[in-house]
Amino acid sequence: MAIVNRVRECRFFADEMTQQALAEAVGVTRQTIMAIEKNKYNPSLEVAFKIAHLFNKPLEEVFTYEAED
Amino acid sequence: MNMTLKEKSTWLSLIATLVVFGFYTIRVFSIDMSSLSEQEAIDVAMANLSSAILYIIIIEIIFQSLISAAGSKAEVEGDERDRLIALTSNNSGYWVLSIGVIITLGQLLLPHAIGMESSIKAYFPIPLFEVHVLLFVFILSEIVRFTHQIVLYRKDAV
Repeated sequence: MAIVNRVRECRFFADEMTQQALAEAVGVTRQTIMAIEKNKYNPSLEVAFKIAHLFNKPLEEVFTYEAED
Repeated sequence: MNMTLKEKSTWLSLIATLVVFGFYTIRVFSIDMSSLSEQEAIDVAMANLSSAILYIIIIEIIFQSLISAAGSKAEVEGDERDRLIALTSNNSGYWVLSIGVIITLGQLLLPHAIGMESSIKAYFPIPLFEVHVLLFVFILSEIVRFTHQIVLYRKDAV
C-alpha cells in the first residue's frame, strides 16, 4: 500500500485514546479504524482530515504517501 | 468475532438465502413431473415459491430488526468503508446476474434464431423452466454478492 499512517502512534500519544473513541469522533466504525491502522484501508480525504484535526496535526504528519517501486 | 453491524446483517442475509432458497431448490427438483399435469406442477412450484418468499421476508424483518436494535444509529447507517464494500460486492453480483440473463436470453432465442433447440430443458425437468433459471441466477448473484461482501470484511481488503 502506498499510503501509510501513524494513527496508532497518534492514539498512543493522545492518552491512549481508544479506537472506539476515535471512531465516534470522526464518524466511522471501530472496525474501520482498525483497518486504517493496519494499512488495509485508505480513508476518504474527509475522514483523513478529521483524524489529523483531532490530533492537532497536519494531514501529512498522520498520512504519508510512499512511492512504490 | 469482531464484526460490524453491516457484516452481521450480511451474514444473516447469506444464511437466510442459502437455507430458504436451498430448500426451495430441493423441493422444485423433487417435483415428479411424470405423475403431475403441467398445471399441477406449476401450482406446486408456485406454492413453494410463495412460502420461500414469505419465510425470507419474515426472517429478514425479525432478525435484521434485532441486529439493528443492538447497534447505534451510526452503526446501522454504516460508514464509508461499509459503502465501499457494498459497492464492490454489488459489482460481483451484477456480473453473475448479467451473465445469467444473457445465457437465459440465448436459451430462449436460439430456437428462433438458428432453429437449434436447446437440450438443457430435457436434463432439468422442472416447471416453468425459464422462470426458474432466471430465479436461480438471481439467487446465485445474491449469494455471490453476500459472500464477496463477507470476504472483503474478513480480509479488511478495502
